[in-house]
Amino acid sequence: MAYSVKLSDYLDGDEDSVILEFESDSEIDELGEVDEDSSHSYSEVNEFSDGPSDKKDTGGSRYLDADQKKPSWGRGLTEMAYESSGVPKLAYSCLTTDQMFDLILARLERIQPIFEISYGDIIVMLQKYGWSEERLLEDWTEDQERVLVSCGLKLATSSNRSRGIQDHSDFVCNICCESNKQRTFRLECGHEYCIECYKHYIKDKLLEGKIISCMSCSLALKNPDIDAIVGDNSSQTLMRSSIKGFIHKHNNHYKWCPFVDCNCVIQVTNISALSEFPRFHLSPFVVCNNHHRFCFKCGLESHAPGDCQVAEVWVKMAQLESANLNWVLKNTKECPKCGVNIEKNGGCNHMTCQSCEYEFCWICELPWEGHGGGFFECTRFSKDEKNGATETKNSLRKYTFYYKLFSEHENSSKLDWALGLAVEQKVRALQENIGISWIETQFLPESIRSLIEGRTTLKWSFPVAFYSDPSHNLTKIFVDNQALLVSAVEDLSQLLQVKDPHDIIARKLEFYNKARFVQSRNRALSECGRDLLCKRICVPRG
Amino acid sequence: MASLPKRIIKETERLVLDPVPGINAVPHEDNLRYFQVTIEGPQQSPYEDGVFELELFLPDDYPMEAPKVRFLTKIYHPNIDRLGRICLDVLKANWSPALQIRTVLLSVQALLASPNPNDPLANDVAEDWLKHEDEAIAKAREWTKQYASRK
Amino acid sequence: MSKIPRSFRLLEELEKGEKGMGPESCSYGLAHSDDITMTYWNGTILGPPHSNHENRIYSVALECGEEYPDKPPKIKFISKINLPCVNQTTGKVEEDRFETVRSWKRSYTMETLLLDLRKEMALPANKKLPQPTEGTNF
Repeated sequence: MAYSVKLSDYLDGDEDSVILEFESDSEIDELGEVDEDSSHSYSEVNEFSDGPSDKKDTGGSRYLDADQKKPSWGRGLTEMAYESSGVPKLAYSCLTTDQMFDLILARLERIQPIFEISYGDIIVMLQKYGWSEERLLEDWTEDQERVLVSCGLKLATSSNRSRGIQDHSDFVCNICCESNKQRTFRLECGHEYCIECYKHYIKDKLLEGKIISCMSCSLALKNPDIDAIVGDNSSQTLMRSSIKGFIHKHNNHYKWCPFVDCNCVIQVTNISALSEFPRFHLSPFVVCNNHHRFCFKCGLESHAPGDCQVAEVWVKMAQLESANLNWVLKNTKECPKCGVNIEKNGGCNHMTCQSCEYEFCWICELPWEGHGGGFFECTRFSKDEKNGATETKNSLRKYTFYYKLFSEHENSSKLDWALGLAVEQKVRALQENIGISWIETQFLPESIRSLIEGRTTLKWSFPVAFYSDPSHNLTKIFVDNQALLVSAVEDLSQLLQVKDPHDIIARKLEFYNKARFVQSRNRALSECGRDLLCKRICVPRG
Repeated sequence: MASLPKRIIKETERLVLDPVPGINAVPHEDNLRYFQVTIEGPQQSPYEDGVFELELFLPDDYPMEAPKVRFLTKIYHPNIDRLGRICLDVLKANWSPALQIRTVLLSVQALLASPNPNDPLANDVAEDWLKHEDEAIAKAREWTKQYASRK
Repeated sequence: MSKIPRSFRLLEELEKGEKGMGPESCSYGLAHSDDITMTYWNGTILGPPHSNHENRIYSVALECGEEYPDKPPKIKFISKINLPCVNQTTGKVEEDRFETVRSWKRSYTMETLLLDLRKEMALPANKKLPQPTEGTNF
């Protein structure tokens, strides 16, 4: 009984709160040191306003001073705080899989003294128990023997057979049926197979992150067995892939970055704040170390100004409709004037035909003239186009129109991403060729980040516009804000095409101003979209 | 053709010399990894008196990878779909290289004896099975008679 | 390498097709979902951009015979199309006028065929060919 009282420290009745407490002290300090960048504080600036929204303020000037963004691509920890208006803020850090594994080990350190067995074996047991420490500890205190047997760490009946690699002169393996095998492996269960078959068997399973058992029964192979058979520290690979199960169990706190080939894990340390977001029509956006911004709640990329519901309904609709209306995201177009194929290789929508020098807008293919100013035909769904067609056809057309804009901006942001990589090279060129310090070149990555974020906001502003009441005045303001952000983004995108390092440095202030302007336009549009949602002028419906 | 692994030769020999009652598996002459299989419907099951044709293929990585098995005879069963694909744990996650063609086919036979509508592959069939078990069993009998009669 | 039998190969292709291959290009599936012989298939090809086929969806019928994949499937356009390798009265893809069929390999799949037909449409010689009214069938 005394034992179980002591245990209560570890038995998380409410698992979340225990994890929270555990993760908010020691661990952040430890892991914070690993990533040098993570000492920068980063606040989710775009989506937060600092007071009641003023509809008339489309200039976004009031947001400029509130900017807390540090000019750096990388970021890790955020401080845990609420802004004055009560808008929630997320505290999170980005972990690599190695850091994630260290975190699991640190966690095990607390419970290991209870078990007095190796970490590897505890991980095996936790895998069997679906990473529920609570259930494992409960069963363990009741009957250690039974737990060990059920997890395959011990044979139910005692055996005098030895475990490990065996030597023979002529062994027939029942897996490959080859004879003359010299080296074999067996556990205490006595199921013995040649080392080649065992190697093949284990290698196939290392990345699954599950318990590897004997080929004939459920007795588990331990880490030293795996290393003895395969070599190369293979058990490490297995242990590292076991974090998948851990993250799955604790998915309130941890999420994999959803971007392709990104292995970052985001850890949120104040998950109680998560439930606060929907009320404000905000989404808990996080940014991983590879600069991928995504929503911690729904797992989609950043979808501001839309909230999770807008994103969900829109994505569902797009999936349904794309079967009927084949929109192909295009990378090439013909010049509307001379018919030469033009490839879009940067995010900028201002196209100039290499052949006839005709300047046009990528989206609407109309002359660029008129786009640079305040008038953006291509972001508006012109009502005049309807001429007595049926209601459904109109709604489909309206959807088609918005979807086209959405996908054009999606394509542009992909290209901007490539542009970002090019910018990194420019930065390096600047440092090497002109001898400019690293810190002085940071305006470039900051610009590219502003550009990508602006583009993503633009993209998701079309679903918001689609679901909004077009007759409402605020919707009109929203559309105007869209146009302003388009203009700001295109401006910056064009500036980023500059290639000459000297030219880049000379125009540093221009970069800085234009990026700042995109940021402020971005915030204004995001806030305006959020207003539409809060006031129920924008109502997503499937 | 690449030489056949000893494991496959041994299993084939044993299937011929020491056949499992109610199960017959013969490799195709031109592809020794490809078996023509018949399974008799288990007694006291809706598939009783039926003879079901299946095909089985041993992929390159066999026995590390499970054999591929499919019904060729139409069958009304919650774990077998309209194309004859089978939902069976030992053919997927619970495959172990220590299992054999013989054990897999025995598992398929056991699946005929005890359908598992709670883990369905053919959703419509499973729904019938759970809602109107008597009717579903009658239908399975009818299909057995219609499609799986001894020739 | 062992030879994967026709039916397991077709099941693999079916599963791939069911999972989808992205929004662009082509799709295919069984013509009758209970066709245990898996002989008759339907495919669609999205007309390539910058051609007269742009924004059109072409339906084709494929027939995988007993000897598939050693022998190519028979393909026939359902939607009317003007293409040199397509018989203008039946819609059949003429074997000797379509390279992918003419030099068929066991490793080719129905996807290969559909994507190659799409490439055929985009060839400089073919992309501006006048096309029949959209929505008409052979």
